[in-house]
Amino acid sequence: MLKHIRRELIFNQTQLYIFAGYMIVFWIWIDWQDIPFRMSLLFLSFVLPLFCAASIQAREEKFKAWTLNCSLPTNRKTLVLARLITSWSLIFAAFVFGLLFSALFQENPAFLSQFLEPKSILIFLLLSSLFLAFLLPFVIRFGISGVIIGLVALQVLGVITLLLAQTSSNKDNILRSFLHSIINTVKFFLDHDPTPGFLLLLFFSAAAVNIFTFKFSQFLFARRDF
Amino acid sequence: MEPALEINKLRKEYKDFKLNDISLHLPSGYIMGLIGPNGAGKTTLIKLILNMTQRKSGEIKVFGLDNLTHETDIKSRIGFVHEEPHYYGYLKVKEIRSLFSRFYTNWNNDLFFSLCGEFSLPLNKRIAALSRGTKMKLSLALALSHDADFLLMDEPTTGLDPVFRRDLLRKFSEVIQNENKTVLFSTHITSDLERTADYITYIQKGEILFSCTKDHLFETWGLVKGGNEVLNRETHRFFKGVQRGPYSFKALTADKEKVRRAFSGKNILIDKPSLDDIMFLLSKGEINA
Amino acid sequence: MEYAVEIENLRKEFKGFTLKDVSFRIPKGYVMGLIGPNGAGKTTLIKMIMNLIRKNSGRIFVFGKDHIQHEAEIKSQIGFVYDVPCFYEDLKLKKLASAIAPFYPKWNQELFLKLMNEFELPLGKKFKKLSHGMKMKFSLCLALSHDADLILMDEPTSGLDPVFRQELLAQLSQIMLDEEKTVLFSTHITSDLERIADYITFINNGEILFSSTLDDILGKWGIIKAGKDLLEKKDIPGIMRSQKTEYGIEILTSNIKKAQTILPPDSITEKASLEDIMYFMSKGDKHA
Repeated sequence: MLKHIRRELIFNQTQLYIFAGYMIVFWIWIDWQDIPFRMSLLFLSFVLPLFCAASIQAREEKFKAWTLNCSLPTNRKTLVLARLITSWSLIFAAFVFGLLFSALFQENPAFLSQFLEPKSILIFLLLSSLFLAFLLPFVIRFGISGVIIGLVALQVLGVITLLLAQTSSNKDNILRSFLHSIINTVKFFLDHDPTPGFLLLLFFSAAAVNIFTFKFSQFLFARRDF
Repeated sequence: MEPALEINKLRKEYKDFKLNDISLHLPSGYIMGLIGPNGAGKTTLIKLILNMTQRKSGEIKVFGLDNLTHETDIKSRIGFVHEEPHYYGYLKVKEIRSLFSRFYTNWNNDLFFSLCGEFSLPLNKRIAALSRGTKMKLSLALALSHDADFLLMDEPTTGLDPVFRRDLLRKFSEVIQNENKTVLFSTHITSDLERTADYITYIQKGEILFSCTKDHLFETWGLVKGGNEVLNRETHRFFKGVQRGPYSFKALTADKEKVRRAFSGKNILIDKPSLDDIMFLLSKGEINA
Repeated sequence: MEYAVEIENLRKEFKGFTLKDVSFRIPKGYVMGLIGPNGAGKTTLIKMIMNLIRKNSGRIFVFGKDHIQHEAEIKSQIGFVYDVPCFYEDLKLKKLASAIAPFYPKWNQELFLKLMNEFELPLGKKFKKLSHGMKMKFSLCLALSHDADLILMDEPTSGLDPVFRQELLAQLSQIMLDEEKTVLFSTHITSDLERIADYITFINNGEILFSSTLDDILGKWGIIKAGKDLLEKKDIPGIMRSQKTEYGIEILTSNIKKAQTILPPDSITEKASLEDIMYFMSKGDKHA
C-alpha cells in the first residue's frame, strides 16, 4: 500500500503546493472575516474532500493515467483503496498545515485549540467522510465532469428548496420542518457533550461511512472500461 | 510558375536545439518527402511555415508570398495535417465540418462527405472516442476538402494501416495531377516515400543534409560495400557515413562515380541505396573527421 | 508446448463494433505480430489481456493463469507499451520512473539508466516536452527495465524514425535470445514484422482471419494474376480473396504451390508480402 500512496503523491506533487496555497488563503480569510469556529469547521469538511479527491481525479483523467495505473501489477480494488487513503492523508495534512499556519498569526489561541478538541476532529471526520462518500464514487464512475454535474445539481436543488421554503407562508410546512431538522441535527452534534460514548459513536459512524465509500467505489471502478 | 515553397536561411532557436539557417526550394506540382530522425526539426519546420511558432531570422515564401505578411491568404490555400491531431473532443465528426468549412472559401461539402465515406469515418461519433488512426483520417478528410493548392502534412501516415496508406498515397498522386498543386509531407515510413515522392529532403539535428529529386538521389548516391582493408584515412572523405563490421564495411557516398574511379581495382560493390540505408548511415555512421 | 498467452472465444460488445470468437495462442519464447486495418480491434484485444477493457465472455490465460484471478501477479511479468501516452505529462522522466519502479520486483535500475542513455532520453526532462517518438521510446524503456517475460506493445514503432525502429527491433531480437521471453505487438509497419515476427495474426472487423507462422505466410501464400475467366473455370486451391483489375483478376491464395499446378500458362504468380496480404484480405472479394 505504501508504494501506492507514494505513487499517488509523486504523481500529484504539484497539487500539494496548490493545497498549501489554498489553505493559506483560506485561513487568512477566516481570520480576517472573523468566521466563527463552527462555520470554519463546516467549510473545511466540505472543501478539503472536494479539493483532494477531485483534483487528483481530474489530473488522472487529463493525462489518461488510469491506463497506466491499471496496467501496473495491482488490481482495481487496491487502486481504489489507495485513492481513498491518499485522499485522507491529504485532507489531514491540509488540516494540520492550516492550523499550524494559522497559529503563526492567530491572536486568539482559544480559537485554534477548538479545532484540536477530539469532538471537533471527529465531527470533521464524519462530515468529510459523508461528503467524500458522495464525491468519490461519483468521480470514480463518471470522472471529473460527474462531480461538476453533481455539485451543480446539488446547488440547483438547494436553490429550489430554499425558494419553496420561503414562498410557503405556512409555518408547519413539511419542507421547512425537514430543513429545520437537518440544521437541528447538525447543531445537536456540534453542541453535544463530548462524552466518550458520543465520541465513539462519531468515530464508528465515520468508519462505517468510509467502508461504504470504499466498497461502493470499488464496485463502480471495477466496471469501467478504459 | 511560382515555387510552392521557398525557404531562405531560416533560423529558429530553442534551449537545446536549433534550426540552423536552412534553405529549401519546392517547385509547384510535385510531392516532396521530408525525412529525418526523431527530433531533427521536421515538425518545427512545418510549424514555422504555418507561423505556429516564430522564427529568429530568415525568409519563408509560400506561392511567392511572405508567410507573415500574407498569412491569411496563404493559409486559405493550405491543407494541413499535424502529427498529433487535436480537436474539440466533444464534437462529433460531422460537427467539426461546420466549424472548419467557415474558414475556407473553396470548401466542398460533397467532397468532404464522400471522403468520410471512403475513409469509413463514423459521422456521429465524438472525436474523443476515435482511435488515433481514425483521427488522422479525419484530419486528412478536412485537409483535402477545400481544394487546397498546398498540402502540408506532418506525419500523415503514422498510425494508418498499410492498406489505407497505399490508397492515401495514391490519392496524393491524384491531387498533384493538377499541376498547380503541391504536397509536402514528413514521414518515417520510407517505403511510402520511395513509392510516391518526387523530391526528398533529409533533415538532421536542425540542418538539411540533402534536398533533391528522388531520381537524382538514387542515381548519384551509392551504397558501397567492401572489406575493411580498403578503408584508410584517405577514403573517408568520399563517404557521408561509414559503418564498420568486424571484417567488412558499408558506406554511403553522394557521388558513386567518383568512388568508382577512386576505388577502381579494389574489391568493392556499389549498390543503389534504399532510403533506410541512407538514413541509417547518415545518422549513425562514422563521418569523416 | 507452453503458451505465454492463450485466448479462447473472447467476446466484447461495443456500440457499433463487436469483437467476436477471438481465439489464438502465443507460444512462449516467440514474437507474434498482430496486424489489421484501423479499427479492427487490435488495441481492444491488447487492452483486454491487461484487463483495461472487460470482456463479455471468453477466457484469457497468461502463463497458464487466468488473467483476472491472478491479475497482479501476471502484470508484474508484463511490460507494456501503448499507442497513446498515459503518463502525467508535467512530471520529469525520473519522477515517473521512480513512482513506477517499486511495483516491479525485478526492476533493474542500472538497466533502466543504460537504456535511457542509449535512447538519448534526458532524465530531467518533463514528459510533455518530448516529441511523440521520444515518448514512445520512454514507454519502451520502462517496459524493458523490469525483466518482463511478456512484452505487449500496441503500435510501438509508430512515429519512430526508421533508424531507431531498426535499433529497437535489434534490441527486441537481443531480448528474444532469452528463450523465455515472449512478445506480442501490433503494428502497421509490416516491414518491421517481416524482420522480427515468428507468428502473424490478422484481425479485421473484430474477427481473427488467420493466425499462422510468418514462414508459412511468406512461403505458402501467393498472388496469382490471370485472365478474368480463371475464377469461373476452376477451383483455386487455398483461395482467400480475389480482386478484379483492368486486365483481369488477382487472386490471393494460401497455397501457391498447389495452385501453380492447375493454372493456365498465361497466368503469373508472385510472392505475397504482408502488405499485399493485408490489402487483399481487407479489400478483396471473399470466397467460401
